[in-house]
Order: sequence, then C-alpha cells, then structure tokens
Amino acid sequence: MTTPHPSAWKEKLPDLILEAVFFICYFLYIWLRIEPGLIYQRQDPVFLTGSDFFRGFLSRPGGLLEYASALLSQFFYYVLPGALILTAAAWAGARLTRAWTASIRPGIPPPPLFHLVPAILLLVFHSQYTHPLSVTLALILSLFAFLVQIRFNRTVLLSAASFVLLACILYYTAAGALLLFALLCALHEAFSRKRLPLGVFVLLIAAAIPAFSKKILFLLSTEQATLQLSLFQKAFTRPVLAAGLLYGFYLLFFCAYRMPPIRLPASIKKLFLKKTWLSFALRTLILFALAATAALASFKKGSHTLLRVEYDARHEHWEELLLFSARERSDLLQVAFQTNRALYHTNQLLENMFAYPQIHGVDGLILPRTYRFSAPLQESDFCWDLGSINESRHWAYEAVSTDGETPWILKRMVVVNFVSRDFRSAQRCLNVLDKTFFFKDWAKQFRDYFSDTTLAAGDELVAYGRSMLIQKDFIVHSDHPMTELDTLLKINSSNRMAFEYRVAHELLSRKLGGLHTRLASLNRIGYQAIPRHVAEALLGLWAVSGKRDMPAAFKYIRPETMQRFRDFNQALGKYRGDRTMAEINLRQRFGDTYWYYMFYGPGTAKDAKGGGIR
Amino acid sequence: MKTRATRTIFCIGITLWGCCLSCRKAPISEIREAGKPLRIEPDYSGVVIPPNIAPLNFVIQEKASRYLVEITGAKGEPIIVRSTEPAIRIPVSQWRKLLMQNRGQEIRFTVSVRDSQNQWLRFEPIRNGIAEEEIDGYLVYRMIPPIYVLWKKMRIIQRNIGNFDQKTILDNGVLNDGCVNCHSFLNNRSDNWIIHLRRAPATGMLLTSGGKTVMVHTQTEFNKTPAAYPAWHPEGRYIAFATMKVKQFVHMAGENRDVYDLASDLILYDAESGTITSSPLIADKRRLETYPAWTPDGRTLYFCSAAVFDTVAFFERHTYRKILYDVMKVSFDPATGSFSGLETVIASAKTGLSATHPRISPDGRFMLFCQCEYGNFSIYRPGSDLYLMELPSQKVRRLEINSRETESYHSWSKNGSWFVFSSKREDGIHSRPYFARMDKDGSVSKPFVLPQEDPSFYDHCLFTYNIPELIAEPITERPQNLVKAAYRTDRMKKAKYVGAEADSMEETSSIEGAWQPAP
Repeated sequence: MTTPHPSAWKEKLPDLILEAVFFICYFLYIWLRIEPGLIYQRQDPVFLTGSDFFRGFLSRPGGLLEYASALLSQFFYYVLPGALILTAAAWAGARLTRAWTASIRPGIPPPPLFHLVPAILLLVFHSQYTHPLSVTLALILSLFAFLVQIRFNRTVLLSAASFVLLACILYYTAAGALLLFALLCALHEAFSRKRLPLGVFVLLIAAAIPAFSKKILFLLSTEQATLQLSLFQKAFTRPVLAAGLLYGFYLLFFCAYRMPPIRLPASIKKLFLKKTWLSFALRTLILFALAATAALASFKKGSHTLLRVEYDARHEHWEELLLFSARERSDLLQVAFQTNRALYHTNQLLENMFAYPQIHGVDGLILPRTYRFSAPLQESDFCWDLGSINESRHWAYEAVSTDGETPWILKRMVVVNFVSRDFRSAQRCLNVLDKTFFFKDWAKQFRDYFSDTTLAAGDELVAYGRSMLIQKDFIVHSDHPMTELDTLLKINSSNRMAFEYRVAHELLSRKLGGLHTRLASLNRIGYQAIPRHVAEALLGLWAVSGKRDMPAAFKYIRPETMQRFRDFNQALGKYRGDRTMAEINLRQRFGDTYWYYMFYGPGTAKDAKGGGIR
Repeated sequence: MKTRATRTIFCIGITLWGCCLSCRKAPISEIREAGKPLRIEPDYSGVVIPPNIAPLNFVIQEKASRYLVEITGAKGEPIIVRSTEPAIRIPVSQWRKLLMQNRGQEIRFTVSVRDSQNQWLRFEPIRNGIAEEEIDGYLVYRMIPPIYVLWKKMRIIQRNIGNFDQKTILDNGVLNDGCVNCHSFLNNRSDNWIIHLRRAPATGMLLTSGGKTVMVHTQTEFNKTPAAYPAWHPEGRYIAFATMKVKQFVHMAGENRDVYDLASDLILYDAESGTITSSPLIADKRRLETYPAWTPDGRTLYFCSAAVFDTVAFFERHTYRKILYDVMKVSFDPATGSFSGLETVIASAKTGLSATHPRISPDGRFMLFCQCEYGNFSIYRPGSDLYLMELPSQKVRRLEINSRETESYHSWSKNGSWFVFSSKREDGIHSRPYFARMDKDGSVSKPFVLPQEDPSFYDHCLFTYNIPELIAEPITERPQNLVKAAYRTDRMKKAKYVGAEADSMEETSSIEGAWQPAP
C-alpha cells in the first residue's frame, strides 16, 4: 500500500472538506427535515431476534440483505441513529461510486464531485418515506461487488469465473442488485477492457441467474426474480423514474467519460476544472444548488405532514399534533381525522374543532370504509378510544394481516386481548415482542400484569379498556357511523367520546334536529356550560326558527359566545346577507365558528344570497 | 502469547469439567419423588400417537436448573434427554426407532428436575399409547394470519408428519397476493388434487391430474360464482362443489367475525368432459346447499342445507341466529352422473343446532361433522363442536375431545384410524391441527397438536392453520409448475354448464363485502 504524496493530499483537501461539509449538511437535512422516525412510522419495519426469524429470510434471493436492512431500519425509531445510518449509506455509495469513476479511465483522476450524484438521488428517494433501506444497501453491494470483480480482470477466464461466482453470491444476497453489477461489469469489459464477448457473456449470465433461480431453486414470480431490491421494485411510487435516474446516471457518466474528450472553451475549463479557489467555489455552489433543488423538489410535504400527525397520534402527543395541524393546515383527510382525535383527547372537540380545517365533513371525523382498510391500526386506535374494544381487536388483527408483526400492532393486540381476557393470545403477542429491540422492556413490564392483578388494575390503559368492555352483543354497523355511535351510547350513556363524536357528527353533517335532546346529557358527561360549537349551532337554529324568545337552556351559553353571535349577525348585516361578499370578512373574524362552517363549509352553496342568521 | 494460549486452554478445560459435573446423571438414591403429575406444553400426556409421528417435543412447565427426561418403552433402548432449558427436543432417529419397536404398546416420559436447592425431583411418568396403525404421512394446510376481512400473506404448506420437514406448495406472494385456498385430494393421494385461486392472477382452480396441472375457470352460466368447498368423487371423475355468495359481518362482543351465505348451491364438475351439471335436489332455490362429501363407494353425496332467509330481518331482528343447517344425503349414479332420493340425515329442527362439514370415514361407517349455534361457518363459532354419527345405526354423539373453543374442519386418514381437525382451544383465535385416533367401535382418544421442532413454537406463532388435509404421499408437482399454470391464463380451461336451463344466483361476485386483499 502506497502513501499518497503530501502534495496530492493538499490538492485533494478542498474537495475532501467540501465532501465532509456536504455530508454534514446531508445528515442535518435527514435528521431535521426528513426525520427518520417518520420513515419508521411509514414502513414499520419488522425485526425479531432469534433464528426462526432469520431462517425465514434464507428461502429467497435478497433475503440476507432484507434481514440486514430490517435490523438497521429498527434504528430509524430514533432520529439520530437513523439519520446516521442513512448518511453513512449515502457516503458509502458516494465513495464506492468515486472508486468506480476512477476505474473507468485508470490513471486519470475522475472529475470531482460527480460521485456525489448518487448520494443526492438517495436523498431524493428517502424523502419519499417509502424507499426501503434494503434497496440502498443493494446499490452499495452492487458497487462493492464491481470493485471486487475488477481486481480479477487479468485474463478473460479469470474475469468470467469471478463474475459468475460474484454474481451468484450477489444474487442470493441482494437479488436485484445483480442488475447494476452486471451493467457496470458489462460496460467495463466491453469498453474499458475492450473485451466485447466478455461483456455480452456478463449480460447473458446476469439474465440466466434469475431465470434459473426462478425455474429451479426458489418459488418466485418473474418480477421477484429479476427486480426485487432493484430500483424497479414496486415499493416506489414511481419506480421507473427512480431507476432511470440512478441507473441512468451510471450509464450516462460512463458513456460521457469514455467518449473522446469534448473540446471545452479554455475559459470554461479554467472556471470549473482548474485548481483555483474560484473553480472550487463554483463547484461548491453547483453542488449545493443541485442538492438543495433535488431536496426541495422531492420533499413530499403531504407525506411528511401526514406522517408527523400520525406519529404524534401514535405517541399521544396531542398538544404537539394540534400545534402542527394548526400550522400546516393540511387538507388531507387523515390529518383531519387525527386532528379531531387530538381535539377530543384535549377536551376541545366541541369547543374548538372549527378552528381547524373541516373540509372533509363527517369523513374527517370517522374514516370512510376504504380509508379504514388502508390504515387498520389507526382504525384500531380510534375504536379503542371510542370504547369499541372488540372492534379495536378486529382492526388490530386486520393490521397484523396487512402489515405483519410490527411492534405497535403487537402492543395493541396485547392490550385488547388482555382486556378481553384472552390471556393466551396476549401472552403470545408478548412472546413476539420479547424478540424486538425497543419494545421488550414494555413487554416485560406488561407480563407482570398476568401474575399481579392489582398491578393490572392500576394500569390506566387496562382499566379504561375494562371499563369500556361491551358484554352484550350487537352487530357492528361501521358503514353507518350514527347507528354505531347510538349503539355505543345505548350500551354506555357515559361514553364521552361516543357522545362528543355523535354531536360532532350532527354538526358536521348539519343534521341538527336532535341537538336539543343532547343537552340533557351534557351534565352527565361533565360539561358545566354548553360547549361553544353546540351553543353556536343552537343559536343558529334559534335564529333560523324565527322565534323571539330564547329557550331557557340558553342561560348555559357562555356570554362571550352570545356576544360573538351578535357580532356575527352584525357583520353579516353589513353585507345585507350576501354571503359571498361577506366571506373574507367573516373568515377572518369568525372562521373558527360553527356559523362560518354552516355557511361556507363543504356541501354548502357558497353563492347563496340572503338567509342570514338574523 | 504462550501464557495467553495456556490460559485459554485452562479456561476451556475448567468450563468443560464444570459442564460434565453439572450434566452427570444423578444417582437414583438422590432423586426425590415429587408425588404429583408434571405439566408439559403442548399437552402430550395420556394421548395415543401413531407410530410414525414426529418427536413430541415439549416444554416442561416447572422452573428448575436442570431437566432430565427418560423416554422408555417395553422394548428398545430408552431415550435420555438432558437439558438446562425446559424445552425438550427429542432426537428424531431414536424416537422413530423406539416408536416402531413399541407399536401397540405404551411409552413413558419420566421427567426429573433439579430445583433451586440442587435437589432432584422426579415427577409421575407421563404415559402415552402407541397405536398399531400409522397416520397418513403428510399434512397439507393453509398458513394464514387470523384473517378478518383483509388478507395479504398466505401459503399452502405440506408438512411431513414423521419429522419436521415442511415444504411450501404455494405462496400467494408469487401470485399477485391473491387468495389460495380449498385444497382437496382424491382419496388421500397426491396425484389428483385441486387448489383454488382467487384474483391470483385469475380466479379458478388449479387441477393437477396425471402429472399435469391446468387452470380451470369454474364459473358458468349456472354458477356465476366460482366453485368452492370441493369433494372428489372416489372414482376420480367427478368433483362436487358448493357455489355461493358469501357475506361477512362483525359482532361487538365475543368472537366478532361472522359469515353467512346469501345464496348457495351444489354443482358437479366432470373432470373428463370439463362440464358442470347440477340437480334441483342439490341446488334448490329455496335452500342453501353447501359442504358436499362423498361416501367411499361414491353412491351417496352428503351435504348441508338450510332454508333461505329473509335478509331484511337478518340484521334488524337478528334472525341470523335462526339459520340452521341440516345434513342431507342424496343417491348418486356415477354411470349417468344423476342424483335421486333426497333424505335428511341430521335435522336441525330436532337438534336446535346447525350442522356443517360432514366427512364420511373411509370404511363408510362413520360421519364426522360439526354442530354449532347457527350458520355454516363453524370456524368462526366458538360453540362449534365435533360430532360423530354411526351411519348404520344413525346414532349421534358429541365427541369428548371437544374444548370450550372452536373445533372445526377435519380430515380422515386413509386407513380411517386417525383424523385431524382444526381447534382453537388454545386461545379462541388461532386454529391448530390436532390429531385423534378412532377405534373400530368409534371411541376417540385424547387429541394432540401437531408436534413442532421448537416445542414453544405455538407460543409465538401468530398464524393460523387452516384446512388441514391428510395425504398418504407427498405432493410431487413442483411449486414452480403450479405457478406457471396459474399464470397461463390463455390456456385456462373453461368449464361448461350442460344441465337444464340455468336458474342461477343473480350476482356475479361471490364474496363482495367479505374477504379482500389488503390495499
């Protein structure tokens, strides 16, 4: 091993510093902007210790890498280690790409900073939250295998033999990683080493291995045999674009770099390629501009917002959720759904729900069927809140069928089964949780509940579940939420969430006919005064009825609500009841009221004229 | 360097000596009798096992620092298993030898444990019988999560009952995550068998016969829903099916899954001509017919049947609890493929229970079936139990092997001495395959669960064993060929209805509102 001459280091130093700064920024971006905890939230990677879990990965190509990826992905649960893993993976990809660029024209130093392009593309992919770490690791393995391969390129026979061996190992370890490996080897043999037949041989072997593997060795579909763990994998929203960008980079770079040198004007050469501070500054500028553009363009704000809200909901960070929701004002249905849950948990549902976007109406309160099926664990959580314990169990089992034995699903299953006195099932889930990294302590703690009943009774969650457990059987009418809520209230009239959701449903659907009858229940639920939105709806109803005398119950309406009602009428009066004209003014002053929702919420004819409240 | 090596050797030596000391067989005089029976999981005590069963590995439910298990029979060398863990794994070859030497006799598990005071305690021996008759060598089942509505992962697995080898026959991950189910074998053999696929990549049945596998599209103008719940006619030419429209609903308390058939009929598929026929006797518009089962002579078809119901009252007045299925039988002429002489075998009006899944023993003497509170989907009914009818005398009895939870789907061994059934006795959610032996007089031994290499396997397995079917020989068709046939939709055979003018169910989808793939 030779030590580089000190002057060589000196020449390289600015670019090395630039690279270091780049990866520090990269790390910070992942840590603070992408937030690996949200990747964990989205992907819920399953990893269990023990040989049984490991053995399951041995029966298919790519299993070993998926196992390693599942292990590393566990650390996304914590933001810092997650960001470190992703940055390290990008850095490894960049360094290996650098070594690859150096192999294209040996002896000639490759153009600086190009090797960072794959790292930027990986940032783009990971911004999608669905990109599995295994695909990034497969890319790294492809490049690594290529660098090993070119060490055995002395004779055609040795090259061919080493390729076959490496390709087989790589395919079993990382399946679709073979694609890029074969592409790089074929280009190298055909053009760099001028051994065209060997290049063709490489491609033929690369096609033959998956075909043989599918036909003889493993039970695979054609897609699984060829594309698993490649960028063409369907886990991406746009797999062809992702694959085109990354694989295209390697192909284009190779072609461009192997082609006869383009005669660049001397001024451009001087500006970009000479070792001057100006060219360094320009390169820096271009690199960061490119990275920033890619990061900004690829960042999926909607996904981030949704995942952040779901993350807060999962961890019961209700106040944070509401703050975030108020700031982002997302129009996503699931965000509205979780925001309403947060409002309930902070005792604000009937007080403040119209301060948040309710553009989805009742669907934002109770998810429609199709959404429930795509988010079964969230539905299980919702049913748990609602006191529909059997339904919570139902949806937890839907979730485990759909997403596998993820720790959060197992936790839910432990609790619902324990509460339902199905101790064997709860213990079975605890046995699986024992094999996780970050949830085994919880499992250990919960296990004590089986032997110590007083300990279990003291657990808030268990106590709540037991108090809500329904003994009498009813048929679930989940497609008819009002019937469902009525049934829950019939079983337990003190079910606060069922009551508030029932009232909120009436408000959102503008079916206010039964609102008066709910007033009697307010006291039992624990309200001292009529909640603001209920009061607003009642005042609205009274105004529309044309009656002069206010009902006696109105004395429980807070004075500030009464005052705002008068102000609202006054403001509307200025526009002589023209709602369209009044909208901007009313939104600014009364956007958080039910009156505004009544006039301008979803399903209203916004251009309606007249019909002011009074 | 030398010192380090010496130190390492010394440490290893000390460790080995320690191990030898701790594992040495305790002299009999030092062992105290516990004077009580030992509890083991799974419960392999007092059972009768076939001589070709895999080792009954188990976990000792007693805390101790050392475990010693001695397995003895009247003949042959005893098996000694020493362990520091309560999980006991019995060597396969020694076990097999001991079982074969002691066919028709008894085998004893004598367990001793060393407690915290270094005192050895010996428990009362666990006695199990070994039957003379072997059980079919393979069990084919579907491995699925306890599915409610959504499915994603499912596999059809073949398990060698004599050891712990298992092979995936089909994995729905290769078939666009479609549904794979209803595997059925002709006379417990693997040369003629079928399996159903739904949305994977097409809906139909994979029919393997004479070494070839083809996909058959079973929907016709008569049965606009695909064929299901197959029953091979013992001569191999015909397969009886149910064709139905399934609906699902959920309860707020107890077992929350429930299923009902809005409509169902039986049909007969002729594998030679690729045609489907039916008869008003098995496809009465006023009745819901399902779960066909042939007698071994192929002259009688048993099935379940209930009167159609008022769907409006179903939910409003909870009349679903009144849907009770009878067991019926109808004579069959294999030469003409015609049915005649419908009779009621089990009348739900008399029993007050709903009868499902009739299966006739290979000697034709017994009918094993389920009875539950209502409906036909016994796997979702905690009250579902196994019943046995002696066919010549028509005597019915509830089997003693039932538990408080669901006992459902069952399959006979080829020799009729054994049967396997699904039981949810562990927790009411996950079904496991249990085996039981039946004497010639119809008495049934205590059942035992399918042994696993890891004796604590069931304690962390969140999958459920669905449709266990016994076969005497392994499936030889390569899974790759099955997948290939499933994808060759262009070569799919289309069954043709050749009966009288079709008077079929109206809707085309069989399971709308029921199970569906995960989004």
